[in-house]
Amino acid sequence: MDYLADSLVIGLTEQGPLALAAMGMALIYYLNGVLNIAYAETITLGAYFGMWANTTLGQSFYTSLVVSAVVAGAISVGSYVLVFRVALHRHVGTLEVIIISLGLSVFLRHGLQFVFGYLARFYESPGVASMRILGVGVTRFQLVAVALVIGLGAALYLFIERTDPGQRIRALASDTQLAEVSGINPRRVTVLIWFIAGVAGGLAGAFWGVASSVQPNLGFSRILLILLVVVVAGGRSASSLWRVQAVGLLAGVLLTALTLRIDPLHAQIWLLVAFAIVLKGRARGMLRIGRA
Amino acid sequence: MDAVWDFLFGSPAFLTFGLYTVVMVAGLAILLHLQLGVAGIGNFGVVGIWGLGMYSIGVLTVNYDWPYLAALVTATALAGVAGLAVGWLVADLAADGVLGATLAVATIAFLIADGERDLTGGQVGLGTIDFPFDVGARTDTVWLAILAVVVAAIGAYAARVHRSPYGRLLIAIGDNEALARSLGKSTFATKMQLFAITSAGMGLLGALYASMSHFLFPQHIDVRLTVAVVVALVLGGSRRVAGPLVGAVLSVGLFDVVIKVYVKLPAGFVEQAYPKVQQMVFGALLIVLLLFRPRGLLGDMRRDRRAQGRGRWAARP
Repeated sequence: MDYLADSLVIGLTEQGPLALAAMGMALIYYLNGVLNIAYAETITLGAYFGMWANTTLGQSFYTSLVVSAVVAGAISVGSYVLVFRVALHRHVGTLEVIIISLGLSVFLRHGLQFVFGYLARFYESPGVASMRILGVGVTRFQLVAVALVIGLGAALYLFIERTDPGQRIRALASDTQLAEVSGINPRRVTVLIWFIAGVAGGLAGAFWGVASSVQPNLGFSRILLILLVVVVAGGRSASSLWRVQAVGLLAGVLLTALTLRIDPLHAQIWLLVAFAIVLKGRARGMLRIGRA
Repeated sequence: MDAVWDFLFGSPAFLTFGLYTVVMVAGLAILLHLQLGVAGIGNFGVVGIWGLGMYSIGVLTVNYDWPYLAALVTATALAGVAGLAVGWLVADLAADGVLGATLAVATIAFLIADGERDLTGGQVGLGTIDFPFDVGARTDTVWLAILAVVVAAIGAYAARVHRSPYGRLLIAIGDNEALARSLGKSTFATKMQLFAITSAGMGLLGALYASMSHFLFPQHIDVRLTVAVVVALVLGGSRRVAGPLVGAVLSVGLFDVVIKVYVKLPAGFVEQAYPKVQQMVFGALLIVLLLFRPRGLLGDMRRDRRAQGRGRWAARP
């Protein structure tokens, strides 16, 4: 029971942003068909600009979240307009778009070091008032962060499912021509998709950054896990976003559970192996997870 | 003699190491060309298999005192077996699954090198791995020549594949796998065979690099090598055997040989900013090339194949 509680509380507090980041990446992949490795740098830059607002401009962490969200959203839209829209217009193939996104990721990850420096940087410490949840010590800030991360994920899902702009997004994704006939402006809606995805990534980056440090590899070191959550959750539709969140949270808890039982190194390897088994099992038709 | 050498070739240490990197990246890119350019399977974990070969020979010769040749053969075979496993894993996955699985291979290779300290030394490093022979000050130049022979053999093999029924089947898989399968070809077994052979080659190149590097660190298993290989492939042209060679000379050759050896850069810049500038140029090259010249400098593989077609990899809308 203690082990379960530890896994759950530590898993959610430490890996919570994973679900949010995966939802953003899934949004672009499911709705626009782009597997964007450079999404890693959207996350990283969200953290960098949040840290900059938090330290250099002296804003509170919660105010800096707005900066992270807006800047990361803008970067995401920028990468769509300048790179991926061109690629889609030129009918570049799936594999080539992945390589393009790898190139963009490499370019941004090294370019940002000329702006923010090579060394890791830190947020102002948001306070260490702590309490116990299920017998595990957590700071109050960690609790707020978990609540925000899960709440933002749920809000994102509700936005796509229940609002007007969300409906336009889903319409465009399921039938482009029909959506255009019914008066939806595809360019504006696609820009909206990329902006929301960027917001989710930037916020995830901010939460990761404040929990540890802000460094050039912040997003890239986590992109594999994010990608695997997106691929395993599957679905290819906006309505499967809740599944991405569930798989993301579950992966975080599972990683923590493995880390507590064995060591962090083998925990990561076993998690990757578990993902591979799910992918393989699904390809062979033995598992039905995530097949919409 | 050495004065003449220095005048002609700048710093000989930089030169040999730079040339070695160029030839090695060319070899890896020729192998990746078979997977990605011909069969259309996006392997983004090249450095993982290469690192397996590199660490295998290191562990066998340093920790277990194996004779060099036996360790070299074993390291190559281990990489081949790992390739067989990777091939089995990715053979029936879509592009997204292949991307995730192959990136995971590279990550697992790094995690093992970093974490299994008893075996690999972790961050302390593993060494010393010497050349299996010693002919004096120019031993590393001889090693470079041996590498060139190995890469030439890899190139010859790839050229042979292009002309063989097996190669035509790989091309068919890259073009339209469902069609190839409907003609009674076992695409699954073919992909596994492809991954076993090409991965053995990548492992061999990694094992040879161990002697050049002398000391092995987990940081050698870095995505930058994968990026360099992909850049060489995309720049030269992913459909032709000569493409990766041209690409490696023009990309890695420019940065690791021409600029490092002949351009006098400030010392601080070389260590800190230069690698980042190189990566930025590589990243930008990938974007610009695939947007505006997706066939690379050398263009398509054969003139009679869909010269204008763009949709070879566009399996999904």
